[in-house]
Amino acid sequence: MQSALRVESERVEQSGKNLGEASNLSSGLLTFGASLLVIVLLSGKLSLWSIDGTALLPTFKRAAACAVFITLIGLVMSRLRREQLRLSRSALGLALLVLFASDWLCRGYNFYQGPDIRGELIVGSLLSFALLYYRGSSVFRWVYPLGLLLLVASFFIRASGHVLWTDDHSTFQYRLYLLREHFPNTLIYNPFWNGGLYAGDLLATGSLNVFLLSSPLLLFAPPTEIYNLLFVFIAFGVTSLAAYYGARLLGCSKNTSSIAAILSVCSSLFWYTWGFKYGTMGFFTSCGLAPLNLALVIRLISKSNPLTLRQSLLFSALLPMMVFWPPAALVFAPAFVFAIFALPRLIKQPSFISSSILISLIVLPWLYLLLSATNVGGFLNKGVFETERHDLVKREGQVFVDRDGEEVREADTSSERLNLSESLTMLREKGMSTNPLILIFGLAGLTLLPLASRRIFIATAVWMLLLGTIAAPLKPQLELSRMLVLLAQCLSIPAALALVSLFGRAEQALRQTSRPTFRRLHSIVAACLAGGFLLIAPFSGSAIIWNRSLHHFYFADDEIEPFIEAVKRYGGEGRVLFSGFILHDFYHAHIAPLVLKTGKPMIARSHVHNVWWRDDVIPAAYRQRGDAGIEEYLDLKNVSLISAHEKSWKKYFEERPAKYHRVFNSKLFNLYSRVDYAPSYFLSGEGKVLRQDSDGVTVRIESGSAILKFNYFDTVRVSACDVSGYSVTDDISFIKLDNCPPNTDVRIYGKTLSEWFLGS
Amino acid sequence: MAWLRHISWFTALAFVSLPLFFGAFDLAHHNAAAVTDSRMPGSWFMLLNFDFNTFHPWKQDPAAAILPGEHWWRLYVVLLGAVFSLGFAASQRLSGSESLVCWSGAVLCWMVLLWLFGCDQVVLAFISVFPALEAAVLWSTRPKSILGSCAAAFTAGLLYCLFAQQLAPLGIFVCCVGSLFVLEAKSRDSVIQRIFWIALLPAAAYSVAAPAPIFPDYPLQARVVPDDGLSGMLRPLLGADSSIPISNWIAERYAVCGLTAVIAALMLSTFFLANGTPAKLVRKFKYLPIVLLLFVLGDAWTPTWLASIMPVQTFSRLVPGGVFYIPLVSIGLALGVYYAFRVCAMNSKSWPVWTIALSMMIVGAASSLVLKEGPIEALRFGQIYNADRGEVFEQLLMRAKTGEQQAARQYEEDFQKVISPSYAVYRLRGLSLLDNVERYQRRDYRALDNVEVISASSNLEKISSLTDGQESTRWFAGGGHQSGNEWLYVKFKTPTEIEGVEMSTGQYVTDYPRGIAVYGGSACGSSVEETLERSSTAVALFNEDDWQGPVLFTKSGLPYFGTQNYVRPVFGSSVKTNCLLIKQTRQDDHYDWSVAEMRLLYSYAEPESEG
Repeated sequence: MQSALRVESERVEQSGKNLGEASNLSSGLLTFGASLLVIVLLSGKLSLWSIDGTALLPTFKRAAACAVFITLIGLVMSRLRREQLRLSRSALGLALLVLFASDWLCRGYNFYQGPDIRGELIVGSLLSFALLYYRGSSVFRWVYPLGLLLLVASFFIRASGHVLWTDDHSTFQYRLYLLREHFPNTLIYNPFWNGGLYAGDLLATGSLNVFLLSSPLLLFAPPTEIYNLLFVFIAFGVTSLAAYYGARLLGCSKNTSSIAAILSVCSSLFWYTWGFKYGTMGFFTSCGLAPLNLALVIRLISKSNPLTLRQSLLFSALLPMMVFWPPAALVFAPAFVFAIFALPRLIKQPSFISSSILISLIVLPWLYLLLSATNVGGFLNKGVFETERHDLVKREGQVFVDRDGEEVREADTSSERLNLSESLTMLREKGMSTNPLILIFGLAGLTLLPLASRRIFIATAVWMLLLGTIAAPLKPQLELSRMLVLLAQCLSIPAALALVSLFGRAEQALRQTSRPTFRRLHSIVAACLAGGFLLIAPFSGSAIIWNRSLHHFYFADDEIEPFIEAVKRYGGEGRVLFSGFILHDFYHAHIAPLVLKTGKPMIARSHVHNVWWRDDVIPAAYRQRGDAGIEEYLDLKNVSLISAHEKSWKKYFEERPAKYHRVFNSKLFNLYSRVDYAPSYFLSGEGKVLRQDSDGVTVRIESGSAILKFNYFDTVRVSACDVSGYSVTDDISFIKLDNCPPNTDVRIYGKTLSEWFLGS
Repeated sequence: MAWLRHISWFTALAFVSLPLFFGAFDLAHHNAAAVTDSRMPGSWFMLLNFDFNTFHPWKQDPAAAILPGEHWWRLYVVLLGAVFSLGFAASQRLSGSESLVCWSGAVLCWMVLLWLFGCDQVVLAFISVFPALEAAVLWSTRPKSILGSCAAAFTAGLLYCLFAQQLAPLGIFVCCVGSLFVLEAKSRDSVIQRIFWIALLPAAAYSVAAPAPIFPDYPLQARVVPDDGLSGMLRPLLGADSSIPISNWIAERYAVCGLTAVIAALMLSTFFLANGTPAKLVRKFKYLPIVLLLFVLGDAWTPTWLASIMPVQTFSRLVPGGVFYIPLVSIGLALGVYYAFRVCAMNSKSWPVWTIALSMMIVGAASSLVLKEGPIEALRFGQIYNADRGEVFEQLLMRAKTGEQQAARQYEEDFQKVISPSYAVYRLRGLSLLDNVERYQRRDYRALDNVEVISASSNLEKISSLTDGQESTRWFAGGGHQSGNEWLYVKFKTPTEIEGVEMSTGQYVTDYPRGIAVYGGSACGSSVEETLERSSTAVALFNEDDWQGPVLFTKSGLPYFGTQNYVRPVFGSSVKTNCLLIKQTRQDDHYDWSVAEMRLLYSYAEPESEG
């Protein structure tokens, strides 16, 4: 069964080597025109060599008209000459040449950071020629292991022993820790942050897929110690192997699969941005698994080549992992439609039945918890991700901050309507940052896929394109433009197919001893140029890792350890509060894992990226009352140490030495200890907090009843007392315990999974 | 009697070459280390090249570490020359050449290299051991024992690393490619590949182990070298990188440009003379020096936008280990010269070697005479470099010797500041940047006072804008371009002591003067015309044909240039003057010269007022 798919793919790859099946002029024109149309659509206009160079096609309309005209000539010519239309690989190379000679490589946010990258591409092209001439096209399979080695080495050399520390990477280190400690319990009452959280972000952010993939490594060491290794494993190991195996599943040769693998880790600048800079590991992992899962879905639905039992088990494990980042489920909508139409046939296939059952067993419970325990509906509707289970309503005067922590005009934040202009901007932004090999060869290579997989692949590609462009402005909170990054990942397989076909043709052309013809030379030049782009791709990826692009990421600064030591030393018995608003201000990353490193409970707005409006951690109602109000809030939250990083708050604390004693200062952060403050977690009553863990608090109540300075939710459970909420203000509700038995340790924890499923 | 003939030739050579070397032609410094005692064996230090402002880690090789005395570098050059000659002769013998030709070629080649590169530690260290490496590689192909050849290759690679440092992988690669053409076909591929990987191992490890360059903490908008005119910043793809451009690679290109005649003579000579050599040895080998020299010219001759994608620049970006910050054009030129001599010396007749060397010297001297200031300058060692660029360093050394500095520690601190990427700034603005930091950091520019006359080369009706206190109004030269003849003139009622002048561009940020010359003091005449006339021969208070910007300082005290629209030329010393003549000295076809406000940096003493 499998061999049928393999045979067809090999025929496609071999067809490139058989010059007798070479494409004709009309095919060449059609292919070139279509490719030019793609380039023009993404770039808008084209200038020669540099941005201020001679305008080749000065406006988008003219450029598009030119491309359409060439395409139409090809079509008309094929009709008049009665020629069969085929994909012309050489014409794709010509389109690549146009891109090389234009200002495309000079624009910002490009995967190949021009304009001087042209030197490397020329060197790569010459090397490709030498390789094709002396070794043949199969040598390009070595780009995968060598390129991967370069990327991994670049990462670790740059890290120099420091952990990845940018944006959400720190948050994921913390989430992995929580999962390592408490999985399968993904809903826990965590007292360490903000006085107690019952948060669903472990469910909703894709942390589960990262955790499950990393779990073999996490058995040996905590995530904070091996995070770099986990990240490299997912970024380069999982992603490239997924593309490799996905290509093999679709019948591609090892050569093609290797090229697909290296293209998957050199697919676009935004792949690096989302993974390395933003640290959105849930999406990043799903993105890496996308080509493999798509191939598995295609095989699952395939009539001639269904999945084997082993493959269906793999599918049952991998698809849920991908879907644990919820928007990833949208990718399979076209496949779902195909499956519906093929249902009468599919229900007779054991692999389909077994996969469906297993996937349902894994995904449905998660989905139930996601819908009932988190306010995902509120997120979809309001655009506010409520992981702290209290309303984050935008208040007057607040300023929106985007993913980079930049303040955005309010007008840009509420566009929930169809906006073609914004869609085109999004398409161009992502398109410019995509590897040209994927843009040109990937789209064209869709036509080279075996027939059985072609329709579903093309439908999925179109669907992802629509999601990433048209649908994205409708729900900006979902950041659906990421679908274009996913699309680039998936297109690595057809791109590899087209490239191998082109290399094969060039190899044949080089071996011919007869007089060179234009067609042969054209193939050779096209193949060499494409080979140049392929050989230089890992170097370009390494350059991004070395922060040569406009998107930068960082490793832990040397100033972090002294800060942590200072908090440990001066933290006292109460909590540590980060004054003002903090997002990426802690050395480019979120502060979530600081509770792990210091062992101290903390309060901040915010420790993760769950707020989108600048807001002070001390509510306005308290700040408006001046010193008294601020003191009251600090007492209410049992704050014994304050960290200040904003100028205004530093000034505030410095001007009140009687109340706040500076105990530490660094380039960014000062620590102030509260003078004459006796910390207590009890608002009323007597007792002792024996222990705070990441999933609960253990207390002993001596007075029978008490109000504890921990946040109350209706999902809070207590082992031995009656629990209720005590409203201090509209926003603050503390835990009230009554009828507590004497001399008994009372455990405060969150609603367990069994309670969620079985009810309580 | 062959041995007598050989001794006679050597004696003649020595008679010619040694006086050149030890005689009137001193070997100027072309690079300097960022520590006073850089000859500590085994320790890395940062090395600065004065011409190209390249700043990279380097480690002293064993030869330099063992030589005593203040002028150790002369002995160093001789020692390296001996190593070079031995290696060259050995390579030639292994390639089948006669002894006399081997030795004469070796000495002549070394002399040419010295003439080109002078006392450039990096180039000399790289090229001096290269022939020995090549000889070892060629010899490694001969023994029947694989272990023997591997051991020889590994040892050669390791020893080469001690001299060539981060450049060792590049040298080994070129050496193996060259050797490929000299070997018999049947033994070629597998043997050379084996030797290449084995020799490369220590070199690759050495490159990885080399410390990352330590760049100063310049802010992102800072500059220390002139803009190369390209969009974006040329930077290495891999490895550590400076936050701002620090290498003046334009200088690298133009330096080689001046030696175009020499390079052309080399290429022609190798091509024609090689035709008389046994075919099996030079079938492809003769193209190696030509290709290398074409690579070099490709970088030097082409416009900047094209040079940035030429092979030498490209390789410098691709090869890790800090190679980007080492001037590879010099390395390429050195290799080209070496291989040119190798090819010519392979010719069985010895006279072509002399012919090429003499013709090179004649052509080179002739071109230098045309381009440079005279025969002494044309014969100076280190032709590729501009001798003036080491002047600041020489001044610093002189200050230490004459005891102008207060303490050795002060000297050490000054040395650390000067031998840095900011050297280009010190070279342009002088060592007053060390002595008068406060002057450059002052921001208290004040409005013109005590002024009798303000005049300009044109647009006099707008002259009042210079002193109206409004940044939104301006005086401008007019015409929408800068011709290089514009000027502003201020005459004071009484002599005024000032240290600098500010010409704010206001909102016209692109209309800063492209070249500035400020005259005052003795250049002042009784009228503007007389002052203009005197300025043609007077020494300027400030003169910069290509205005780079005001000098600012990093937290660690290193100077850099700020953005050019902040036009604040600060004088080297405080000057009491009756007038100021400010000339715009450069051409620009696109931007006018605008001044929204003119202010002066008065000396701390209050200006004398009338009455």
